[in-house]
Amino acid sequence: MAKSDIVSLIESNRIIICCGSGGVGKTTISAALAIKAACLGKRAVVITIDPAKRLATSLGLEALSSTPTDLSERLASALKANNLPALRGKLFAVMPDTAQTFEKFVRSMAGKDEALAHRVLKNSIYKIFAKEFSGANEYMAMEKLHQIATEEAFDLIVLDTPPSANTSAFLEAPDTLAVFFDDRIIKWFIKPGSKLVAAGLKMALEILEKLTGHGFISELIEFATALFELRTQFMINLKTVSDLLHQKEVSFLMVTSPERLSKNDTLEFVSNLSPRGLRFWGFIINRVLSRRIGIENVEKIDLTALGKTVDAADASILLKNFGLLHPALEHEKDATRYLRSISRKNSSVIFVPEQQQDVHSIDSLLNVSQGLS
Amino acid sequence: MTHNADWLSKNIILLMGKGGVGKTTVAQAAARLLASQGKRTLLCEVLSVSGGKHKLEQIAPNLMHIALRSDECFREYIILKLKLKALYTAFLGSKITQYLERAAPGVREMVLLGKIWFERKNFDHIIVDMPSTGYALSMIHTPFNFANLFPGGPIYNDSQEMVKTFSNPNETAFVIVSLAEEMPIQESLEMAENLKQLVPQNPAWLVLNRLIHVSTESKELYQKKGSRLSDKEKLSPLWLALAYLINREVQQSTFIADLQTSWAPYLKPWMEINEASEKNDIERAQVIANSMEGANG
Repeated sequence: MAKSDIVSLIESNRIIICCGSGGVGKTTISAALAIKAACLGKRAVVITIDPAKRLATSLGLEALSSTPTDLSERLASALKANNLPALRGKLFAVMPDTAQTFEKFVRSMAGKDEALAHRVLKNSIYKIFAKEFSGANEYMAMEKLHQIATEEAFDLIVLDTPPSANTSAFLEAPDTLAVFFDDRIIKWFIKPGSKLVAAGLKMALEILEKLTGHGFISELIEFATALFELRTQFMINLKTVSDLLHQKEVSFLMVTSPERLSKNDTLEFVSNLSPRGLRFWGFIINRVLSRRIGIENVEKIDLTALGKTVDAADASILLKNFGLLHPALEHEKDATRYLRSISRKNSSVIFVPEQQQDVHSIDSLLNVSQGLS
Repeated sequence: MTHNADWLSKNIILLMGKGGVGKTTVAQAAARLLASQGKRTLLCEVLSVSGGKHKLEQIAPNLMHIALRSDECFREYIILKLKLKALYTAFLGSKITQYLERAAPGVREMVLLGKIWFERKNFDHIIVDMPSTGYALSMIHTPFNFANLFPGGPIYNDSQEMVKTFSNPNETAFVIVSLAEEMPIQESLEMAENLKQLVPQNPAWLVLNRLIHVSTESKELYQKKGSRLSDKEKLSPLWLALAYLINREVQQSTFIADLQTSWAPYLKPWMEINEASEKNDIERAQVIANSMEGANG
């Protein structure tokens, strides 16, 4: 028998990166993939950033932890309770504290220059930057991935990317962050070359000072200067992380759901990968209602034929009730068509049925994992 | 007594919530309802950092629509502040300014929110379809951060004014749209708590969207026959759909019952919106608008 898409995904990769916008069940799918890998005999780890609390608890993660927590025993007993084959591999999970990772990142870039690290960390602009900047979490996820990959303790790493408004945010994070370290720009602050640049800068800064009040500009210049000193190390880190993502055994997949699918976002993501030299594996469509209610092909729902699957006396009531699912099935039809149309020849589309209950226990995660094939 | 639809009377209505809860449909519905009552209404989309067309368009009588772009908002703000053409042209053209617009933390969020805040005087109601939870929250935090970050000057003053408007329950409504499912409710409660810390005087509103109500005749049929179906009928999508919906309704009512306690600290009653079966998005928004009007009356 040919191997299923999911099995070959797991067997032919060392790193799987799950992207997708918020609310599609990305964390669930990432955890289910790691469980599947552990069942197939791999030492698997899932790195998850900022998951919903209940899901974290179901994975056995009571608090943030930057080192992998061994969940194998928990999984083994869940397998046993469900009369499934015994666990052959191992399952781990990591839930890093991004604020802490960011601080560590700054410290490691500053190296022995503790005064420099201190200057950055206490800067009021940095504080907001680390908390609110939209590329920061994504880049920290990459750093964490790199760290764990370097330890070489696992056969498979599944990265659940941080929640963000658009799927491409993860791919764009290094570029977004690199803007801060753009030395051409930072240089202007420190030593503007020509007189013309200096005059333009002086004017812009004066206006800024008026807009922002006294004191802000000096903080800004200090922040920029400190970044300037960190930039060489940052560029080295950036290169290392980028090299890792480009390795052969790294695949990107997109998790989406019929209700949440945005065509622009999906197209942007898929077309962003190959110019960057990154490998796209395919889509995992989560929470597929039709699969849950026994409809094989959502594009061909024939109500007359459906009416014949039940007692003629009940057909009218049942069909009327079925109407409540129209909007959801309509979305699904549209989503399925679209994803199939943009999938390339060798990429996969996997459907995960809508679950009976919210997924927040290891048993239900196991259920989702069993459904991945 | 506070009514569950009182948020519809506020000037700035910020709709927030996890992705997939139907926030956009609720925003459409609320905007259409207010416009149909003769109120000058702006439906404002904040999809992500950039990406909107930033064009004010009329989509129905009394109803304008705009999808914001942060770079345009930035331009407008600078022009508003600097006034003199020579000054703002030079400033906007400066590389330092372009760098800050792209890179300085919070600037994009601040100008997006600033635009909404500024437009409030031009409309009776501004309905804002906010980005999904995390980003929406950090957006709302920006003026509060800026009011602390800057020692003075116009940005500081504007941040202060925005903080005042957003903290005032008569002017601004934070509306969390949720499904009656465990994870969305959990996230909504976390969001309400976060907002409570930020604007203690202006607790959030809650809208429970897409509630399932299986008809009585369907339920009776299920009770009568559901447990003794033939093998063929057990696999029928029609019976599976009925079982699925009944199960969903039961689960939803459990979560709603839990809200009696968990939502109590936020003091506001929640609004319930039923699942509408119209296939077309605009028709569905209209049905929801009609049901809101019922709730409002």
